[in-house]
Amino acid sequence: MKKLYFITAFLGVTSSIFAQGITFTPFTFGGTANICCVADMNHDYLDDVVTVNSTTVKIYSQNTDGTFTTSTIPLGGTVSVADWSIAAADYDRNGYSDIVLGNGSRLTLLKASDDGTNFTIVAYPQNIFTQRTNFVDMNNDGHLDLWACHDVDQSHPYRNDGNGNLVIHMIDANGNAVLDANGNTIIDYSLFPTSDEGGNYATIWTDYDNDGDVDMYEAKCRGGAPVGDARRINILYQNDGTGTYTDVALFAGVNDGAQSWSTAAEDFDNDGDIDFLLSNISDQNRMYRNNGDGTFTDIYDSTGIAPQVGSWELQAADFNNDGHVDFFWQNGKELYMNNGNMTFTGYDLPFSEGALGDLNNDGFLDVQMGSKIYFNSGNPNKWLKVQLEGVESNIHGIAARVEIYGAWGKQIREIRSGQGFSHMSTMNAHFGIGTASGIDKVIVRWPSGTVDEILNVSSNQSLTVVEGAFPLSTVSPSQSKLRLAPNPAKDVVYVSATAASTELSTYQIVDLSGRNIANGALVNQMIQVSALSNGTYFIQFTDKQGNRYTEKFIKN
Amino acid sequence: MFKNYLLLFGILILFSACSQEESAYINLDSAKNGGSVSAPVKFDLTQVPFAKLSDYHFFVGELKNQTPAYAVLPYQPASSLFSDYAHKKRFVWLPKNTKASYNGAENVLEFPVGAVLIKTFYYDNVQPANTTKIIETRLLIRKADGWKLYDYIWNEQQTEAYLDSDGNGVFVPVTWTENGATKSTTYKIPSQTECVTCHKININQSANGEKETPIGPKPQNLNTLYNYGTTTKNQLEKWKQMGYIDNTLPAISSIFSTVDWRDTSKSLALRARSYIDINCAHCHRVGGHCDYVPQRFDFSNTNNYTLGICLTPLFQVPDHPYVINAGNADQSELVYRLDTNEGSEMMPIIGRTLIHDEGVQLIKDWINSLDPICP
Repeated sequence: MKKLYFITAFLGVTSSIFAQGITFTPFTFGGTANICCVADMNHDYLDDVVTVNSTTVKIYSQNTDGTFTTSTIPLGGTVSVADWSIAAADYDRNGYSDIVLGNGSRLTLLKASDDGTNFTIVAYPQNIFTQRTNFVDMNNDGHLDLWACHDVDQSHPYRNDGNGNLVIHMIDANGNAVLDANGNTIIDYSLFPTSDEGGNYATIWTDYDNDGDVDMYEAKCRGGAPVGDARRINILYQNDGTGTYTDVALFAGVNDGAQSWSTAAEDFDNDGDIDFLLSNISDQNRMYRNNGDGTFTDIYDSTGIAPQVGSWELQAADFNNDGHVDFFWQNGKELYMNNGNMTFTGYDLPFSEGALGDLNNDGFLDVQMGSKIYFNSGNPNKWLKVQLEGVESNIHGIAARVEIYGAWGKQIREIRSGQGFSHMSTMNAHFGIGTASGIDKVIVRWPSGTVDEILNVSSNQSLTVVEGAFPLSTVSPSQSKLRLAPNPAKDVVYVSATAASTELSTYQIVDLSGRNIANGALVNQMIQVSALSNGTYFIQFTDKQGNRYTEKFIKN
Repeated sequence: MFKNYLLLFGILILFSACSQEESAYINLDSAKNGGSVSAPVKFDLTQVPFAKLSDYHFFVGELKNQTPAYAVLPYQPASSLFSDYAHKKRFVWLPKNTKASYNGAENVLEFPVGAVLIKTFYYDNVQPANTTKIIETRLLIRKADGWKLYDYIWNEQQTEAYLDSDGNGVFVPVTWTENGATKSTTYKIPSQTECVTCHKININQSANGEKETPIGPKPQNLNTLYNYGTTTKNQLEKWKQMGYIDNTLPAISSIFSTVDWRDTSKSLALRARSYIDINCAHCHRVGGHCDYVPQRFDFSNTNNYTLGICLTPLFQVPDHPYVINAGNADQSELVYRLDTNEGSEMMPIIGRTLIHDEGVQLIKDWINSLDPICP
């Protein structure tokens, strides 16, 4: 259920709410959305606002000077509107983010063209009472898949086939759709099997056990179901590293059986692991503090958060940049500021949900909801944004872990597409660091396993990290599995593997923007590079077993 | 003597029909008896669902005329669910010598195995040619292991309806004129899961207790006069006369019954409560799809607070502090949700795409007539 905010008090008036060092000022941006999408749509890392109705997409693209440029893009047809959820990501890696519309009976993709000026409608015929949708690479093949929760039946996984398609139906070895006795396609659940039942409300993808692969926590809710019914018991899917997910919620202590609606997964106590704040609409909410050993403890009663249940939405972020993650939701006190010791103080807000992003590039997170952008007026606290460019991993670095170290200790963030129950928020990692003057170290742990480390980072900037561009200084050349020589090279570069059993078969060259430059079969262990422009590249090799290797290469 | 030959002839036809036809359909229409008695319906329940609506032989003559066969009894609940202004024809059929029994005025009759409920949805004055367009016929059939839900989608030629075999539902654009106004919508023939979302109940909230169920045919909704063509009769009495309800039915006068919400000779309260019951109570009752929110919209609920009067909603709407804000319709959550068609805000949650202006007005009038007692 959505909240309708009567904006009469704010028409033409900049009114503010002060809460522990922040104010929000509403701005009428010219569009309107109640299922909100704030994301970088054109690969410039600036968050844009997207609104979609049944015939048109409008992109309010943030410019570096703080203005917005509006594009009105007719869809060339009618689509089932996103009336339950929306998410965005560039799943076909063409440099422009695509959009998924989660509707009460259908799911539709809007696939951005290669120049970003229009969308192709990809309408799936299967019925689905869509709830939360997420773009995430479930099988870690470098391509973003799509997850869609189904309110009253088994949730749908859509497999990225690596050719720009998200496929839901079974296909045979020849690539043809498998049909049942009535000539209908059959949903392929094998990418992420779950039980064949409904109650699937909101999923959040997170590496809760800090083992380098993405797991998933699902909030479940089912009316009419008694206590103990599986359709209302939350599930924690633990990834074993191979893309096989097992429900460990009971063991972990997060198998909450109340009617659950959404979860915020953040390191609320800054101890290096992800905690779960669970918004329920029955019984009580939960603050599952991660014990660091695969289990959680509910400490809600000690947090100072009011016991009221009933919020669909939950969005968490550090709003006052003091280095502690806050949140807001649809209960009596909408905003809860983190006091830094796992207690929270509640404040009223003129909004209770929305999409988060930095919509004026000032390092403070703003909220878009309805016809407004609520700009965070900020404060003197310092901040850092980390923008990821995946090469071997998906282009946004979804499911990557970003860590910053400094006077505060350690803070962590994860990159996600689709948080809370319905909205899409920024895929940039945002940190507040209070009054600290700089950041000692930034670490990015990519889904591919690559780790980048950047030392001595200045505050109040946006740091772009291309996968593999800042390999850990502790990695010695002999630990690398491949060797390129000569490097830099003018005409030809030779590649050799340290392990004699490695049989490299193909290569792909990408530039620092992640754009594909060239690819082909690897013949005689060498690649002709004379046609490349001078500069830095990454070459991704694949061996016959499907393993991937990335090496940095310079053409001179 | 002639009569015996007639009987023998009839029996011969009977046997020859049985041996010739694969379906169990028996055609007793013959010139000899004037063809005035429609054939009884008979089919093998284990072969259900059939691919085509005509396979059931519920209707005689052209399918689109929806002329019921013998013992296929038309019925109508006192108030009807709003389905984007679609018109509806409803029928009930029970196998011979089976009866439904009573288990409370507010509960669906306990139907026997083999019972069928039929509901056809159509529009009149469909543009551009002011024709009648039948969109779907839904069947609820009671099998041994519970109620089954089947949807038959009518073809453009209006000659047949076909089972929706993939269960995904179908979108049908339609434009029609009624009461001087032309309206348009994309009508949604529901998917199987959408059918079940409303047509289910876990009446005791017990483990594995969720069951598919009809909604309309409750004694409280059938206690009205219906014009059967040759007679007008109370529906409950008619069903009893047909042998469709057994002796468990109490005196009709004792059944607390809903009314037609459009009948302005009835009290506003009765009309509004009847409207709310048929549009909302299948989910908003104990064991229903949304029983985790506190309001109970059953017609038989006499508790004003759990009905929603001065009740704080679970999902709060700014400036709408109560589900039913007595005396103040514009600040009642109930009105807010009826008066929108945004997917995640509207009520009912599925089954309509348009706002029912007349229904909204009824509820507003009722709420505004209540004493403003809320704090």
